[in-house]
Amino acid sequence: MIAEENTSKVKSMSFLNCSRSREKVSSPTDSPPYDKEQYFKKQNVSSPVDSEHSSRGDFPNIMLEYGNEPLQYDLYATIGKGCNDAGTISVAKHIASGHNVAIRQVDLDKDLDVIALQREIVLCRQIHHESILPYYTSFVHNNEVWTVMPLMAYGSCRDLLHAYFANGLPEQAIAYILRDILCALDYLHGRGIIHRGVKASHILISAAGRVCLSGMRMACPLIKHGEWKKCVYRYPENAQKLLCWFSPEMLEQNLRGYDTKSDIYSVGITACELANGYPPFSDIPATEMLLEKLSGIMPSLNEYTTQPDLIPDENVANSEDSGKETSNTTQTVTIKRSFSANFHHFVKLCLERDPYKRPSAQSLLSHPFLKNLRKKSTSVLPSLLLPVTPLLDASKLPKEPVDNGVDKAHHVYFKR
Amino acid sequence: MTIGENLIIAPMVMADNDKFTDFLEHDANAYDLHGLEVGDQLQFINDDDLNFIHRVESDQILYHDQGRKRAKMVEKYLMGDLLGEGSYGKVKEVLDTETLCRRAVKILKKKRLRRIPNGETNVKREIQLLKRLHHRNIVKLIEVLYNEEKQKIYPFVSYLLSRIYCLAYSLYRYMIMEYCADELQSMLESAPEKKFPIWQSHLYFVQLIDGLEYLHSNSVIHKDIKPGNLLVTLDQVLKITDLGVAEALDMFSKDDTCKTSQGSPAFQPPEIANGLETFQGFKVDIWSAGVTLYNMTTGLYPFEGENVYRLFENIGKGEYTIPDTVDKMLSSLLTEMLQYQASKRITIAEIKQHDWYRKKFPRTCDIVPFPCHPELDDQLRCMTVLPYIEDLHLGMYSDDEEYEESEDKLDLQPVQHTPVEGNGTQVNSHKTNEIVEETIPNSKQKKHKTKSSARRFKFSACSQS
Repeated sequence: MIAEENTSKVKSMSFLNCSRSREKVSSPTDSPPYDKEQYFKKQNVSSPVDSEHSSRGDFPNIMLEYGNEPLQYDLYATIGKGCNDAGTISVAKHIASGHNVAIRQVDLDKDLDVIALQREIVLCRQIHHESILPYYTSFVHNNEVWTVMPLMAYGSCRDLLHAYFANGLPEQAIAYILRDILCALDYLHGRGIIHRGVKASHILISAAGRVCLSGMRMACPLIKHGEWKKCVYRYPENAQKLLCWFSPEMLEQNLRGYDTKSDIYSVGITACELANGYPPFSDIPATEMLLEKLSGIMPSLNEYTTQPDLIPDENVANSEDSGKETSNTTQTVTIKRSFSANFHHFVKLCLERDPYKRPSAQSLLSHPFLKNLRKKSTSVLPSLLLPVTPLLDASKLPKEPVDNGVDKAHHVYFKR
Repeated sequence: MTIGENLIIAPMVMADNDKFTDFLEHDANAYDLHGLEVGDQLQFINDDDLNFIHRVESDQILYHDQGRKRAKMVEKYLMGDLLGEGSYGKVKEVLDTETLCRRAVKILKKKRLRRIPNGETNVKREIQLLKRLHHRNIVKLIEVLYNEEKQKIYPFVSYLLSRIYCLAYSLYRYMIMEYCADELQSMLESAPEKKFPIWQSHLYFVQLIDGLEYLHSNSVIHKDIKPGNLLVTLDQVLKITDLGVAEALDMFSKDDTCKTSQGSPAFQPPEIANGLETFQGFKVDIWSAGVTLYNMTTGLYPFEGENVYRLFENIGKGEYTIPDTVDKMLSSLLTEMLQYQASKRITIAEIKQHDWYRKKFPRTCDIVPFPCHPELDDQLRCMTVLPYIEDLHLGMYSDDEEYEESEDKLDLQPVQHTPVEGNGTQVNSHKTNEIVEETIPNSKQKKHKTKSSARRFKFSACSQS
């Protein structure tokens, strides 16, 4: 069994190698389908190595004082959206120190839950974990709330999927990402906070390969009036985009309520998303998704087979008895992608319909899928994510006037 | 074949039905409106084998109808089961199909409202008030939908003879509200001795006062505070509802003088029982809240009477006793809230300063839970829309109105009321045992059905992964 495990790992490594070799051949036109979303892609990258980042340390600028004046920052291109599209996230430079940061500007005139935003900012001040996105400062400017945070140069995992890994990230990268996310969740859960928004687009990766969980706006405390509740009942009403990741007990909205195990389910869905390239249930109406989740249907990792028509049956079999099946299927030549038995088992545990049967974040960290990851993700992820390289020098991006609208320019920044 | 002949066949099916005359009337109505269409429907029947015309027991007819739950959408909301029924119309559970949030809908039918004195004005006022009130302890009105819809009225025979229907037009108003698990009244009724443990009463009372304070600060007098108008959410948040008889004071009025009250008699203060021309509005709510507190903590009412006149007579005298079991602090609060003279009655601010209000009560005994639906065996208040979603996605759902459920079905088919309509989901606990017995097998049948559908899902999951 162990031997099998090893081989499958080697397999996934070789998959990575493939992608590296593909990098050499690929021309800009045949690179994976780019999303219309604001993913920052830069053409003609000369030298990505910047003096500040050469150390590849974690947020070298963390000890700096960040001012609360918009004039202290130079805004560059928009790199993403946040807060239900009410906010835009831009690359910026802190003028005083010359450090790159990301700034989120949330338009308060737009339809959004201001109280949730407020709660998010307060909460982010209270928590400190290396795998949770810190907020340096936030302030109000005109009708906008500005939040200054470190620049996560790889963008979110969703961006990575859009940019290159349309068919999913390499398994090893997923393992490192999930390990860090579970560490963050373990920290949050230990403080009685349910994150409720775990998904690929809330997982950010810094230039150095540090994985950070963001999206604290959805977080919900288990502690109320000084009392640690067993479960909570509140259903987030404005979370249409997150429905795919919600756990069945959360969607059920009954007297059983939900607790921190709900996040574990979301981790399971996120794992599928990272591995498959898209989240499960994303192709069916929300109501049907609800029905499927409540009836205990478990999404699983897609393994490519020769006969697409037979995929369904095999997939179910795989998720139930992954060990045997994978060893069988890996023998056929036409398979393009497969995952280790441990990964299958991990996903299956996370997606358990009954929250009591779902392991906690703590115990998942010692799951065989993650147990043997000894290195820091900073030392591994950047090489695993090749050919995608992070955005390193913001000053090369077109500058953006503070009050102007979003610049539509896209910048491809693959290193070739 | 002419329509007349069909009509002769139809009665044969209903041989032992004494509501035959009803049927005839409806049918005739149908012909008046859409004679031709109905004729076509009948033609189809005649093409069929005529052997099917035989005597059918009525319970078989029931069975036939209950097997299916037809999906019905009102804009983005999918209708679920009945939650309760008020004088104004039904309250059903709905699901927001975009956010998958559970909601409740109050279905108001214009025709029915006209029959109720002040019906339409009350509803309009309630909507107006709820739209501007936003508080944790006031039920939230999400949106109001209007729908002029073609509505099917199924004559009794339609279950057998294809679907003969008539069309009628009526205006519906849907008030989409936040979902609450139950009302305080039915929780009290299910509780031992019909009262809450003291800490639970305190939990609700504090929230009731918070809600009232908010209402009063917005110059709104509720006028009908009672356990029946207090809802409790899944996480034990109390919501004041039913602002149908509430009064919003004029912006420029000097004080809270009111002239009318349409609230429930047992909760009315002496000044209303005595028929005073004008009275202080805020103090009415204080009194009603006092009666509610009395009721929650003792399971009794301070004033009773075999009819409204006797009741008002007793309230008018203002004599009541507080049981000895009530502790001193609480009884002092009750006495101050049930002060005969409105001017001497305690104010909200004073209540909030009262020792009993401020005291922290430990959870000494178990909470009175939400009562269990006898038919459904559902202690968790699960979503009732699931079978409808199933119909929507897996059934033969079509926008074809033939399948739409008629709101009026209940009114028109006195023979087979409750069990048919709600499919055993009526909330009101005033149900007779008979009905409960009748519906139990159905719930079993329903369970079976969901199981089999789960199996069906296995396949659909496969195909999507």
